[in-house]
Order: sequence, then C-alpha cells, then structure tokens
Amino acid sequence: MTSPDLPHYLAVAAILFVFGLVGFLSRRNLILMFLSVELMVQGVALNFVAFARFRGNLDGQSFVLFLLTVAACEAALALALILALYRTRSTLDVSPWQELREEDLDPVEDDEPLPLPGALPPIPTLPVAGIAPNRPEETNRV
Amino acid sequence: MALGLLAVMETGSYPWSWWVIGPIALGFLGVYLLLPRPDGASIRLGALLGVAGLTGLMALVLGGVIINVETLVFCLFSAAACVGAGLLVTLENPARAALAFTVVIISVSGLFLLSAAPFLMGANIIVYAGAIIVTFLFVLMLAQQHLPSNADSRSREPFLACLAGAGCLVLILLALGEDAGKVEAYQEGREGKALIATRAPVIPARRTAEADLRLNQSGVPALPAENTAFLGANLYGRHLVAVELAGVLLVVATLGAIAIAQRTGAGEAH
Repeated sequence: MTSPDLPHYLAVAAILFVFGLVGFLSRRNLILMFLSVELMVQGVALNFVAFARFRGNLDGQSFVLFLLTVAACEAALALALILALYRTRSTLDVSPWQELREEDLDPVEDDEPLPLPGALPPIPTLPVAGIAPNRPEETNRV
Repeated sequence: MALGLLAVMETGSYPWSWWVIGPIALGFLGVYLLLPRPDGASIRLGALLGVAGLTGLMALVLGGVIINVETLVFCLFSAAACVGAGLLVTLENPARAALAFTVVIISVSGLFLLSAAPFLMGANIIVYAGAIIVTFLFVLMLAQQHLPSNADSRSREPFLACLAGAGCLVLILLALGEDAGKVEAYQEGREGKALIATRAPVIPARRTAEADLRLNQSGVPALPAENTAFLGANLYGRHLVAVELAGVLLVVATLGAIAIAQRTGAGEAH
C-alpha cells in the first residue's frame, strides 16, 4: 500500500499522450491539430517530472524547462504558418492542402453534406421610444 | 502489494490483459462516437461509454493504492486532465476545445506540484494558459466561422484514428504493468530485471548538488517542496550551455515568426 507511485504518473501521461495522438489524427482544424500536439507534449513533460520525483534527480525538471522553451518557439512558428495558410485559402481546414499528397494517392472527398445551419435566435425588439407603456395605475394617491 | 496493475497481474499468467483492454475498448467506442461528424455525434451514449472507460482505467491503475490526501488530489487532477483531454479532442467548437486545453494545463500543473516541481507548475501555467492559449484564441476569433464548416464538423478517419490510439494505450499500459511486476519481483529477490526502475538506488557520486535533498526512510532522496533553488543550481550549473542555446532558439523563432507572418504584398492570393 503506497501513495501514487511512478507507474501511476506514467499511466496518466500515457492517457494524455494517446488523446493527443487521436486528436492529431482525426481533427481537421489546423489549430486543434496543433493543440493536440501540445497535449502530447504535456504528457511527455509529466513523464519527465514524475521520473525526476521518483528517481531523485533534477535533470528531468531541467529538461521540462527546455521543453517549455521549445514549445513556446513551436507555438510562435505554428501560429505564423497557420496565419499564412489561412490568408491563401480563407479556411482553417487541412483538406484543401491535400494537393500536396503523393502522386499515386487518391484525393479524399467529403460525401455527406454539412448540416444546415440552425435558425438564428430572434432579434430582440425594443419598445418604441417616447410612448409611455401601459402600467397599472399607482394607488398611493388619495 | 504496491500497484493495482500488479495486483491484477498476479492472479495468473496474463488474464489481466483483459482488464486493461476492456476499459480501453469502452473509451475507444466513446471517443469514436463523440468525434464530430456531419450527421451529428451521439453525445449521450459516447459520453457514457467514455466516462465508463475512464473510470475503469482509473480503478485498474489505482487499485491497491492507500487512500490519503495525496491519492485524492492525484485522482482529482488526473481525472480532470483526462476529461479535459477528451473534451479537447471531441468538442466541435474550437474555442471551447481551447478552453478545455486550459483545464488540461491546470490539472497537469497540479500534478507537477504533487511531484515536487513548484517552479514548473508556475512556468507551465504562465507559458501555456497565459500565453499560448491566449494567442490561439486570438487567431480562432480572427478566423471564426458561424456556420458548420468542413474544418470543425468533419473528422478525418475517426475509426482508424481511435483504433491507433487505443492500440497505443493498450501496449503502453501492458508494458507498464509487466514492468511493475518485474520491479516488485526484483525487490523481493526473485529473478527479473526492470526496464523502468521504480525506486532507483542512491548513487553516491552523483549526489553533489542534490546532496542536501532530504532522504526518506529507505535512503532514497525525496525532493523537498522548496526545490526551486536546486533546480536553478542544476540548470545554471550543469546545463549552462543549453540555457544559452535555448535563448538563441527563442530569438531565432521570434525572427522566423515575424518573417513568415508579415504581409509582403506581392505574392499574396488576395
């Protein structure tokens, strides 16, 4: 019977990493793909910190600091690239860039139609200005 | 009995693998149902399956752990991190997904604090939740679309992606459980040698800056909560060149981002 030990932290980090993997593979929004990569980085950082804790060696924590530095640089460059891509295609979708694929691969086409946008909420109306609304008469006059 | 994984494992020769595969299969189905698709994701069933799978995994990993404050805080933060990660992957609105990522960041920072890394906790919150998420939200607002779009309402190969993730998780957890068993066997004097040593022996020659760390009952250095000073000594003592290189990297990345993002006028599509 112990408190949470190294394998417990490693298991949580593995779950985070796998969620990031699934997100990167399945989502089509460029920004969400990048956030999924950051999720994988968080899982790896948790691994490093857990090893530093349970092995009594601070090199793991130093490594996480460098990992944060690289993640910040990566975020800056990725945002610049995403902005450049958005300016040319006016969408955050990755599929318009599939013309960069290998020559012998078939393009992926979207079969199902997108759902129709739902009805917009009604615009609120204001009472006409300058006309006093009907109110019950106040009864405090004699 | 130290570990829940080990507790399940010692019941026989690998029947415990079904205890790992079952919850992961539930989580696989849940995430697959929750991923956005044009005809609408089945949110209730998916969320139910996902929560069931996550609960099963937590019960498996944490079985046999003593219940104290540290365990409760660990459970709280790890559950919040996993739920936030699931929301990040499955939410259709990207701004909400970015907010779910801040939940993950704060929870992982809590786990850092639990692992005796208070400086990293602060740095993580400042860098991620304070800087990266805010800039990403700016870009999201800049490119916001109110109608259902290809980018947000469709998933690319959701079945294969979830299958890859579930297979990866099964392999990692099986390896962890087997390795925990080896560690236990090694410490009890039986044969077998662990790939990942859970409790490292103290290496006297290496304990220079870490010599002042407190030792626990078994002589293993336990990191104190106030180890920011030790982290600084480690960083600027043994990794000084790497710190300088990190500064150079930051400058180069800033210059590169400015060079990529600026409008040149010529060569633009509009």
